[in-house]
Amino acid sequence: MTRLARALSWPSSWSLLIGVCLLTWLLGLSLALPYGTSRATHQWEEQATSYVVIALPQQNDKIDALQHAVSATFPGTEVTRLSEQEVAQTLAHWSTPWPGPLPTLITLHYRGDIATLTTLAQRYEPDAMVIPPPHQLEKLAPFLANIRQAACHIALAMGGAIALIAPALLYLMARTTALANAQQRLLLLSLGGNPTTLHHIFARRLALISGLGSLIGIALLLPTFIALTRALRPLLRLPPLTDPLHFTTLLPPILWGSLALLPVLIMCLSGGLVYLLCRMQDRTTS
Amino acid sequence: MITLHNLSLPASPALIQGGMQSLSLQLQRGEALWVVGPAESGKTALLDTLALRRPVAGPATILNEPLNPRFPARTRQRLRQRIGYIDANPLFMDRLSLADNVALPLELAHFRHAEIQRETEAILQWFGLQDHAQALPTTLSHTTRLRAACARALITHPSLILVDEPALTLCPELREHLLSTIKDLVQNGATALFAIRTRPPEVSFPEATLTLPYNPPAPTEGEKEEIPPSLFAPLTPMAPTYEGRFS
Repeated sequence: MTRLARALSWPSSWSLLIGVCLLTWLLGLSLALPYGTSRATHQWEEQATSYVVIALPQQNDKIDALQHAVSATFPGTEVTRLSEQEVAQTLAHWSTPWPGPLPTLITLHYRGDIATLTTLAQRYEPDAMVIPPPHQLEKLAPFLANIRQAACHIALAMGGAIALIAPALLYLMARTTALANAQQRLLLLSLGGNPTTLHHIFARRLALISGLGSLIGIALLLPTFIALTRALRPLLRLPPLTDPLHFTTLLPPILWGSLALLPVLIMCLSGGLVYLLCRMQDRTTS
Repeated sequence: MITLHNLSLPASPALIQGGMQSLSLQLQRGEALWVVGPAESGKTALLDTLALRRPVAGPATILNEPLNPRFPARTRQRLRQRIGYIDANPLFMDRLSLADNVALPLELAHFRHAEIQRETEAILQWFGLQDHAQALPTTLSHTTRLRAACARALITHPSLILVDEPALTLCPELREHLLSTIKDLVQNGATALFAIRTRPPEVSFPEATLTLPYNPPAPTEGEKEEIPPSLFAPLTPMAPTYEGRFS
């Protein structure tokens, strides 16, 4: 039925494409939100209890040597030397404006004995001062639990809204397409054609558009995840990322599998739904 | 082939009391008939009924298929594929070319691609539409659209041909061409009805006329409750004059 497929007009293709793209994007976000929040808060808890600062009174050539020595002695501790701007920012959080020249700050995630680290630091710079992480977990725990709960509620609300909006959007698109092709349907019937042929064409076409929109939505999710992870890093007091795909480790494989299957699922569901709607409308009108 | 018994047809109350007339009709294969009458006398309603575009009230048989309230949709589709109806305002698929529009009935009947192309080219040439083959219907004049509607209605060599007034009155050349084509098909066993206000005096085919509003002859004692007999005897089949599937 190539001629018939060419004869039909598609007034709502772009609206459906953009609508499904947006809904998929929101659905992906709502699915990822509880997992992402849980992983991020967990990481936050871990980092908060292991965030150690080594303060050195002034710039000198021993700082690089100390940095290398700490990295070599305690591997995996993400030793980072803060820039002057970051130092100023950190000190501003700590107290009133810093008197005199700014010290040098080296940060690392260290869970071992503070005395061992202090001995190592003072071997390179006798005036080095090691500041252990604050005992803030007790205050942080209820706050993080609330954040997790809020994320679950937001995800549920978004999922519910999408579950309501998606069928309504598909109904609207199916109805608009059927109305735009009312003359074609009438002619088809008068020539002895089967209206089910039209329903198949509608369903196939709208399913393809939905699938494409969904794919674009999933594709848009990736930069969104990268942007969100980058934006959250400073809040989590983590060093800037070198691997942009680090966010993939925050979400479980089952969620990635669901996101990969989402376009196929949306395509099948929208095709079936449009076909059923067209059949119902046809039965009502005839 | 076609039997209508006491079919209720709407008509203008100015023409008939109550605005409804009861029509009985029987037509066999190879018969053709003028349906004449003033405006609003029920001509188009009769054609629409025979084209299965209106519900049929009362016992009726179309193309030897008895119509009843439980008439299955599949049978209706099959019958419609055997009916060629050139109505007053023919509809087209506006996004398809004229050739594709004309070819549509063959595609719906699942003909092969090569056959569709051959038949379409032949009938477009026969109706002088080959220059407009790739044009969109909306860009064409009403007469050309009527020609295309004629080509589309006749491309499948239908068993029942129904022609409404505009195709017969708008252009004398088109009428002559259409009548000669239908005459060939009727001689090959098709049945045809032509709806028109007044029968053109210069046209000899078909000979029989049904006048609407319908005034049935007073039945004699033995004819009461009987369907009128066939109006015509089948004519001798002849070969069609344009090259087509049945040539």
